[in-house]
Amino acid sequence: MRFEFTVLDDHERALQAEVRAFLGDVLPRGSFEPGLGMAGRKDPAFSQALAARGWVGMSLPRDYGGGDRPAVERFVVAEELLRWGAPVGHHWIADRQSGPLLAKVGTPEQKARFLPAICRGELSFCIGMSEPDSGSDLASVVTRAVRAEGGWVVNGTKVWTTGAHEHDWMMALVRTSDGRDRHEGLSQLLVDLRAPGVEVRPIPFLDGTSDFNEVVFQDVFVPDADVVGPEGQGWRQIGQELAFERGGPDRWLSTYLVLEQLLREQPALATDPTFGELLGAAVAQFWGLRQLSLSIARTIDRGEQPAVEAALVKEMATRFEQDLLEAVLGFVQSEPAPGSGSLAERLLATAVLTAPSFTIRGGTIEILRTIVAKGLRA
Amino acid sequence: MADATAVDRNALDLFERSLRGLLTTDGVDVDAALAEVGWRDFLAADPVAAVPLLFGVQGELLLGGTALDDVALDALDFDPSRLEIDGALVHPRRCVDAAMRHDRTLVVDGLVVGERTPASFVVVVGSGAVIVPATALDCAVVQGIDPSLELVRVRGTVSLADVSMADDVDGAAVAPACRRALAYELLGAVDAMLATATEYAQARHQFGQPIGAFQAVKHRLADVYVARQAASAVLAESWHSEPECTTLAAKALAARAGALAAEHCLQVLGAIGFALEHPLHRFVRRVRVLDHLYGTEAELRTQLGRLLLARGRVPRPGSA
Amino acid sequence: MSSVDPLVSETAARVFGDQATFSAIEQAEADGWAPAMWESVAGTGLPWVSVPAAAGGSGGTLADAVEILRIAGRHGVPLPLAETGILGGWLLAGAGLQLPSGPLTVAPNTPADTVELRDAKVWGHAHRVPWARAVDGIIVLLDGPPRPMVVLVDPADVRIEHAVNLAGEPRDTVHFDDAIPLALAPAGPGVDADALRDRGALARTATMAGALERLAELTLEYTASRRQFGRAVAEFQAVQAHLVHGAQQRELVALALAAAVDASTRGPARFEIAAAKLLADRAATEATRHAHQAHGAIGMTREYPLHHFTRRLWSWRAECGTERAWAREVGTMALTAGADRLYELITGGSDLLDSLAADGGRAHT
Repeated sequence: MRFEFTVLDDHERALQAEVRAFLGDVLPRGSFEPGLGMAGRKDPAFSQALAARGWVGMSLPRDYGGGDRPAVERFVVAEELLRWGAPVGHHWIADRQSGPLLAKVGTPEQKARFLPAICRGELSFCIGMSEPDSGSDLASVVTRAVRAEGGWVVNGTKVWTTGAHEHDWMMALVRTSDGRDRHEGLSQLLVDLRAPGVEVRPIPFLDGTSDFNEVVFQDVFVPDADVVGPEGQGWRQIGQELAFERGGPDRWLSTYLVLEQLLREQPALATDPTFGELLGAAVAQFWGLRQLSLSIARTIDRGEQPAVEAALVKEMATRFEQDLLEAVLGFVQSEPAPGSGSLAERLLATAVLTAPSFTIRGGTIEILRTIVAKGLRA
Repeated sequence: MADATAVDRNALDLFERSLRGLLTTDGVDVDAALAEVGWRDFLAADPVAAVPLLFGVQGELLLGGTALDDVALDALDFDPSRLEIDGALVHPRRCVDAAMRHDRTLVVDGLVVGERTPASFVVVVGSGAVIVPATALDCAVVQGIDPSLELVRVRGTVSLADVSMADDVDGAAVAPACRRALAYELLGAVDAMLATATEYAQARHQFGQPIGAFQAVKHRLADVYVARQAASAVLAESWHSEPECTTLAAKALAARAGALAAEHCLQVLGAIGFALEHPLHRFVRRVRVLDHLYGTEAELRTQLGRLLLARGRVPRPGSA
Repeated sequence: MSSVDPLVSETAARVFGDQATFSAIEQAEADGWAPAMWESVAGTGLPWVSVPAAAGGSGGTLADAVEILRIAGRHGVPLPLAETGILGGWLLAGAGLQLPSGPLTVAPNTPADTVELRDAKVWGHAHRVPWARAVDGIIVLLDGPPRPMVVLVDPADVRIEHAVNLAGEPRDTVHFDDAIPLALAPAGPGVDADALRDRGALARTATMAGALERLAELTLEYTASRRQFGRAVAEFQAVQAHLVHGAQQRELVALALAAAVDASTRGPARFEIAAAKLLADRAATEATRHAHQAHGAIGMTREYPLHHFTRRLWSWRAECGTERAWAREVGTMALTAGADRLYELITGGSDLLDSLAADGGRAHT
């Protein structure tokens, strides 16, 4: 396990200033409804404006429209977008994991087909991993792809797919063969969500949204050209993919704006010493977690795979997101109403309703602890 | 007020079974069902048996209804129907009194359970109570996170000349009695959540075994159970000890158990716990809203702390 | 970024590893001083790293000194290393005074202290002074018109009342009764009570970071070897949670310390030191609970080394500012930045606060 201290260099800080200026211009505070970190709204026009600045697909190869830029630069852009509450929903998954996966294991044809569109902020992706009977135990997925002329025929059901009702493609984990052990024989397939046989059913959630979906595949044809990476190597691929997504600022910024906005709307809190203590403790924690996250980005740029480090950070970060919310609620005078005229209240209400998912989505803290413990004992 | 006759165990079971039978019917009119089983008489005869039973079931089945009013009026020792008054009780939001006196006026701001249009409202003021004509106050249905409770916010300023005083009532007994009832309701919800999560942990298999086999899951459920039992113990004590302190503590502990149950049960259920198609979310909402009636957990703790500091001592269990 | 001389860390690891054995630490607690250990450590010059050679120090950077303290913390070294070098040596050298050759201590200026100068003689009482009974010089930083004064006093000239901290390390009360100082001079530029407290906090954060490492190491070893119910206890999920949480705190504090040291090379680094100490204090509370819980009963025994580290962490978390006091400080800094610059504070720290102060609130990084 290695976390090494790092700071942003002048070039990276200049990038940070640029992003801040861009957001101040294009999305000034008060001109839009901010989201909670990575749960930001889907806004293709904004994604495209970001892409025009070269800030979507930053880590993707320049040959395919990307920036070939280091993970740290992507970190710098990502944290500014998330803490601002910018509407990143359209490109987030594509940029964070699907694009990099294609860049790493995709065929030249796949890269040519998808990466430029991702980098322009045009194409959106969602992830198809969980199934009704396969949550934490992803190797047990039963969605199956059977060999057919020129490709595969897929049958099965994916569940909890965020945004499947409004995204273009799904990166789906399916079983294509049976290996000696159940981790062999899984593959990742690109599924066009508008293909015949794909049925998307929104699942209404307790926060009032229906962004999570059940996606049923009934004899969906996926051509050979849409298999990502070697057949049967899906398990190893998703291991890498998940490592990327676990250590980043999206894991500790979900409730940041709640604190900032509360401070903005209630300056009288400044005279309450217990609020001052909470604020100070929270700021120190953000500062500390950021350091760990930034260190992971640097490690990725060195060519390493900090999977254990990322799991360690996500476990701690998501618990912090929840604890911060509970602490902030202690200073709120009335039950936050979703339709309130106060932005702080609206953000709080959304946070209250969605907070329990922080420690579940993308790997429960129970699973993460298992991963870290194994890594510590290795 | 409690009568000398206590209802025996068999009668209690019978009562509970009839009650559940009536209340688990779809679209049931809770108040009518309660009237049918003679709930008010039961409450008057043996509140120690009646309140835990009814409110436990209410929490478990997520019922609406106006039983909380009955508890309040019983504690108040006031029967508005005897004076031909059709009144609904105005309960406090959080720890703020439902009514504040300023010279010759009364400022009212509280919650009424069960959407209805009574002719008047009964409001506790200090150690007494007043009856306010409904036309004097504004009502607005609360569009919060648990609409099934049918809460209505009642607000307005009335002149004392326009209200009538209820004589010979025990206003101070209302908050403790209502806190106690709400605590039982919270624990009923906790029991339902725990049952759901436990059943899920046994049925849901991952990695070739029920997820309940994993220590992490076991411990979450155990923690909820421990919190529930702690609240339950203080609740039981609240019938025998100094009621003001013990009911503050009991509702605070019950609210804590409710929050813990929501958190842990959601974590154990994973994503399905968030889907509307699964019943868990309704309990999650219910415990949040119940936390707001008669004081949130944090407010109750502060109030309890103040009370203990003022008295300079901690009441001993079993002492009046 | 500041880097550490590898020779410094190797020397420290070697001499502390050799000297600070389990029984040596136990003996030091019983006797109140470990003279042979001091002599061996002093022989390497380590206690005076970061103090300029011209003043009688060993040279080297602040980063080197902090690294030595971290390694010392990892070994539970019962010596006034910070007090001799980065605190005491810093005060003396800054005031243009020569360092004595032996161990030194610095009065930490607790709220109960009443030390003052009257006609160049010292009066009053200082509390919680580390190893006052065993050192060659006691240093006090006094407020005094027109500016802070550094005072060096001979222990022979004062009355020392023995007291210890939770780890059994001396934290004596010193009674000054018309004591004539060995040396007295105005403090160097930028040296005042706040600066001393900040530097003390940095020193404690360093030793705490080391102790957190040792805690995690001990817990990992123990839970891997201890078997119950037919398997290593480390295989139980509940125990794994303790391991993971201990490791998280260790990593969080290690990076926070590095950030605080780095920021200190550019200026006073108030924010970074406060945040690091506050995180270290919280980590001390959390990690000690997890370590003790994972160890079970054996972790509470005298004969098992865990307590050497958990007791030190319990003491150090309350020295040079408690968690809550530092949280209030950082909170005040956050309020200065305001909602509109709150994230800039998280990313920019002291640099942001300095530019806000310089531009009267109109600047941004």
